[in-house]
Amino acid sequence: MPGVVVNDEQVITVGEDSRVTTVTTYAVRFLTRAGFGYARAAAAYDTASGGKVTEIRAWLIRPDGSVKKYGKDHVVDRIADADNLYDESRVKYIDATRDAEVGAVFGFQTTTAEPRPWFPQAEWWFQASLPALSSRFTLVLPAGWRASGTVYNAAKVEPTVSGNSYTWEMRSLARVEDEPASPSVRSLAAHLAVKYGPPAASSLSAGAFRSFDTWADVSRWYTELADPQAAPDDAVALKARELTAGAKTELEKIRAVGRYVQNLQYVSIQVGIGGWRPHAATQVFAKQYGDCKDKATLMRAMLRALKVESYAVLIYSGDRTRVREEWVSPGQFNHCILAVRVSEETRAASVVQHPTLGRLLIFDATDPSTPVGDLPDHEQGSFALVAAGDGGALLRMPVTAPEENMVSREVEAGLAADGSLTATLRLRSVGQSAADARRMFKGLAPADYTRVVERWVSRGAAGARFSKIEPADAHAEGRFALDVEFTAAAYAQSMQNRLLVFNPAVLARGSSVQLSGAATRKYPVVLESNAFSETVRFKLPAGFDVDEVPDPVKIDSEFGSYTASYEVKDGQLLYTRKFVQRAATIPADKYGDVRAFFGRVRASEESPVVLARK
Amino acid sequence: MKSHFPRLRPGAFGALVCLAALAYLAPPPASSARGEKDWKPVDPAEIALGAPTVEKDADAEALFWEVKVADEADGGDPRTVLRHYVRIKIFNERGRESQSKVDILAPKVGSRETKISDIAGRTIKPDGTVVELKKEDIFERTVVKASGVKVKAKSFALPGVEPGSIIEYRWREVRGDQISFYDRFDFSRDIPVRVVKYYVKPIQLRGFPYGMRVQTFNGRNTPFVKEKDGYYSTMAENVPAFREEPYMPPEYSVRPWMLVYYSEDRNLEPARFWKEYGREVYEESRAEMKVGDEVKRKAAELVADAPTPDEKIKRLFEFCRSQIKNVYDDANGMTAEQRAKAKENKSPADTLKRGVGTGRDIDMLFAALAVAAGFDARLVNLADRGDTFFDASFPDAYFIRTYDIAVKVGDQWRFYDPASSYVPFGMLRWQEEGQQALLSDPKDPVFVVTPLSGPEKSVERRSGKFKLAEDGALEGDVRIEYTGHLAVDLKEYYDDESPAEREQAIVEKFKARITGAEITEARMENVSDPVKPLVYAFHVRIPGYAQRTGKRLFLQPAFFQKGLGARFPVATRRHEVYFHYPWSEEDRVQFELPEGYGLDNAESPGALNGGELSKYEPTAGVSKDGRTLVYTRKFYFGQGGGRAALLFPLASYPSLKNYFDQVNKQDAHTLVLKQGATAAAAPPPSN
Repeated sequence: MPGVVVNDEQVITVGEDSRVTTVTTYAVRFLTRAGFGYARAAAAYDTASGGKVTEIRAWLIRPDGSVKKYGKDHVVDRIADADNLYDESRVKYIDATRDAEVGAVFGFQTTTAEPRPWFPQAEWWFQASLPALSSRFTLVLPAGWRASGTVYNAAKVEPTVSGNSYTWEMRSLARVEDEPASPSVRSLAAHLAVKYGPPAASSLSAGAFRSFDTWADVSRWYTELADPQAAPDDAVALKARELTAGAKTELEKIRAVGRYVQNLQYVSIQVGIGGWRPHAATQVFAKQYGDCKDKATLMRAMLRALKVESYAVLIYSGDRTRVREEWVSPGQFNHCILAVRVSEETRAASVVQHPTLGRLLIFDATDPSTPVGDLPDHEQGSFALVAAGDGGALLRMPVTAPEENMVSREVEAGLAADGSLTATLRLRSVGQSAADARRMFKGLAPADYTRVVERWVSRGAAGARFSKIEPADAHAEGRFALDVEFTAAAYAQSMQNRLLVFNPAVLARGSSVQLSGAATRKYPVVLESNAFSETVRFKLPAGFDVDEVPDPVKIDSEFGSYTASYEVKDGQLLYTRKFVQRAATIPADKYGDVRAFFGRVRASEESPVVLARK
Repeated sequence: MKSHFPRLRPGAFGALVCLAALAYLAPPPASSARGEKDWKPVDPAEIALGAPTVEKDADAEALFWEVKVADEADGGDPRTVLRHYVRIKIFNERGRESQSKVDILAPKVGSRETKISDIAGRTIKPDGTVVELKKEDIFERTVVKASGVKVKAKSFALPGVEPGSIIEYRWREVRGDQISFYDRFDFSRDIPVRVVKYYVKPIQLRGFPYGMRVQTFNGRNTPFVKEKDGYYSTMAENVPAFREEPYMPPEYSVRPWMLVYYSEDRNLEPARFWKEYGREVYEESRAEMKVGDEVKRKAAELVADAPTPDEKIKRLFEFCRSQIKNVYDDANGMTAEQRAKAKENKSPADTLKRGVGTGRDIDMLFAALAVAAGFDARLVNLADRGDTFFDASFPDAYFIRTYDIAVKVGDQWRFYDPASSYVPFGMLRWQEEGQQALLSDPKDPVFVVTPLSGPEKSVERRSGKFKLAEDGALEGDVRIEYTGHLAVDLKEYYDDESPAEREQAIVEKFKARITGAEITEARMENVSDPVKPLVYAFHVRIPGYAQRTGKRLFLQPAFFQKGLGARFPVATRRHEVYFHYPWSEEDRVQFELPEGYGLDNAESPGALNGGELSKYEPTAGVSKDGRTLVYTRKFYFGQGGGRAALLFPLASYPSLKNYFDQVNKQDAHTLVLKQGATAAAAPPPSN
């Protein structure tokens, strides 16, 4: 264990004037050098709202009892996210990692002040990647105000209430370990979500604070922020009409606009309302760049010009288990996409039925690899908020079927008596499998893409030489194709000039869940939806018969299936395999099934064929 | 760790290009700013350009790139003023993504401050319309601020950029409190450049005794020509993009660039420069090697009963390495505070007394002890071939800032570096081996070549003892030892990590290679031991390691190569192939076979002979009782020494690739086991 958190505490005090002061206190004892990375104090603040870090101090208590203090000379102040072209969020920190020692205790206290919070809400994670002896969150409110909180991923915790002070505390907390293919640590850790506010009759209740009781409240708030920005001007409308001039159907119109907006450059400039408000569509159009919410806004403006209704959608990108329906807060989201109201004529995998808004086509205008009609896999199945004023609601995003993300491969292979291989590969992919392939294809210069393909093929067929590498992207249709022709000397291994041994799975399957070698795990396994099928037709060398082929395989499970078969006919070996993986979040107690499934698939894919000289 | 900046001082002699050092204060050019607010005219052919001209398939191409570098004395305060201007044609979305977002950093460290001003930019769309970058779209932000350091940035995104657009932008950069002092200026970018032009202007300061020098490398730039306003210019055309590649030579021996600096105008030929420089180094280093009574006593004590000169040197070396703490060693246990408080050693006696010092202090103490023990010891200066390849025809000490100690044993000079914690006795850091080193001397300094350790010095020695189950599962213990440069690299990497982190690193490394491997009892040994080999050890179980069919088991005996791809999988490359040092590998893997199984038509993997340069020798055999299969593999590369054994021109890439492909193929060799088969292979190797 790298270390243990001795104390982890935050006190938020809300003043009568709604000013918020946050005091965070933390102490960690280092048990090994691996824990030294936790010898950091950090306090985030937002310059746009007038936020300030009024105090940041730290101490290192060495095993011999001596103390090193860290003050303003040690403070580093930096922008929070260097990837943004501009961002008003900053962080002050003290880094004591180079002074840390095993057995030492590092502690810090930070105080931040904000004129008022963006929302009268707070979240506190009791658990993190180190175990903690104690973790406590206190909210001090003005007289008459009330708070209510819910603890997730742990048994219910009642606050200790003293006057207007509410304290939630947990003790002896285990650490949350990072496991491959699991939900994020923040989705798994015990955490508290609190909302607070003045009495309903207070003048503050309607003014300074924007409180959210229902998802419709969040919808109204974001609609007010985003909708005015999505007003088209003449230039936007003209462009929208120009883009859709040849479109015959509703879907074709949406595709034309979607493709245009996706192709704009991604540039993030976070200003105002904590970065929530998008830039005006007219500005985005003039500059030809923007971030996720800017792109969604421009697309909405163009659709509005075409009399097509659409809504901003707030979502968490990267972990479909993250957003909780019970916690009504915009703070749960990190990404903005959009929902387009479509008629019955529009059929696509990303269409969902909204209880009041009807059929909605969900689209991510930021991901340039996922066309209209599909949705990035890390957003599928997640809760997202459709911001449609009073009619908005939290909605489960669609999940595409494995077959809609299929990779199909046909390999024609000729095997010679000396073991050399001549092969042609015809690969066709759709849905998110095509999006993955497209992302790589578009992200690399042609020569670099060729090298990637060469590396991939060479892993299965060492020393391969290539006569053709021909990719073809059909973005609008969501398809991607790759044709490859290659030869590989001594692909099959000759033994005493009598046997030829080779793996019929010439090329690696590609996407596969990476599981640790551990026999057990603590957290669920998250699987995405995809499918793969392959036929490999080997023309066998003259003078050889098939001596042995692996047994056919058929595996079925609740989250996927796999089949492999071998057929010998007319001097040819036909090898077929099919793999289906369904989107699922599988509980840890079923991890053994997952591991066994993928272990059997892997064993099958590595099984060789033996030819014997007649 | 050795400090790489022992003594920076202006070089003393003439360089390839000496730009006039003006001994008077010239009036500022009246027209310097005139016309600079205007954009250069855009050729309609540039707007119409549909494809790159320098490199096929480039995402974007710099049509021109111009930098004016002027060293000035502004009211007596020196500063370097740079005016940058670049025009780029965008061919596709990748080009737009990579080129149209711009961050210009302006650091301030102490009193040295860089200021950015006069930013202007615009986009010329494919239809010829122009979109100007507005002032309000240029964001100034403080990237980071800390005690004594502040880094500001001016950031912008060019507006309205689409494939086919031309973007251009320019800015003024003022580097305060300095003039060009060994500054490196690149001629290549991440995209190809049609024309790159540098203007340089020496400082014009009355009484300033140094002349500006410019040396270019790896390029085909034009000779410098005199321009107006005191500038001199050079240009290069059709410069390919610079891109990194695995196994490539050091960046600055590949990409075109120039070095700008000042030195006295002594105009010496290289041979004479090095003679004079070697004498100066000798004189300065004698003082640093001063032998006092304490040093004499310690030397006598250390070598008292040493039977040979070699043994004497070894004892002095080990003493300096193990008993004197290097303040700059990140794993020495010192805190930043302790490092900051460490006193400066003024003599070897100070270093000896305090038991702590800089890398140079340690090397100098070693030299002093050697002198006290009766040896001739000298400081040698040499280049770091991890940075660039050294060329002695460039008469300046800039590239030979690294140093070692040469000790004469018998009639031979030998080279030592006790300040480097993990470099074995008799070796140097790989960056310093096989290098020309200037041996300081009071009369006749000469370049000598440091030895290049052979492949037997840097060995990866691996052993595994496994039991193979009938279902193909493999289980057993693994031990891997690293020596020489292989060990140095790994020790430097892991020495400040915790045992848990090291264990995790082992687990991750092997799991990435063999899917499904269950690794336990992982440990790394001797990480901070300067002498012993670094050791990885672990227990592993791999379900399905051998593939099972109805009647056979298929086993890849090269356990340590399973899952490794080819070293050179791609058909073509951009740069020469460069290996840092020769190395060798020795494997011995023992498999206890499942009951009743024997080899079926077994055939040993084939050996490969790469001449003197390399050899690959695998063997496989079974024990007399047929129960144990033993696989051995010996491989070395880089034998024969010298640059030719490490650096391979592009023309030889196909044959080099083919050789490593053959190794990879033989490593993937499969042995077939069959129930009831008779073991017919050769007996197991004896070692």
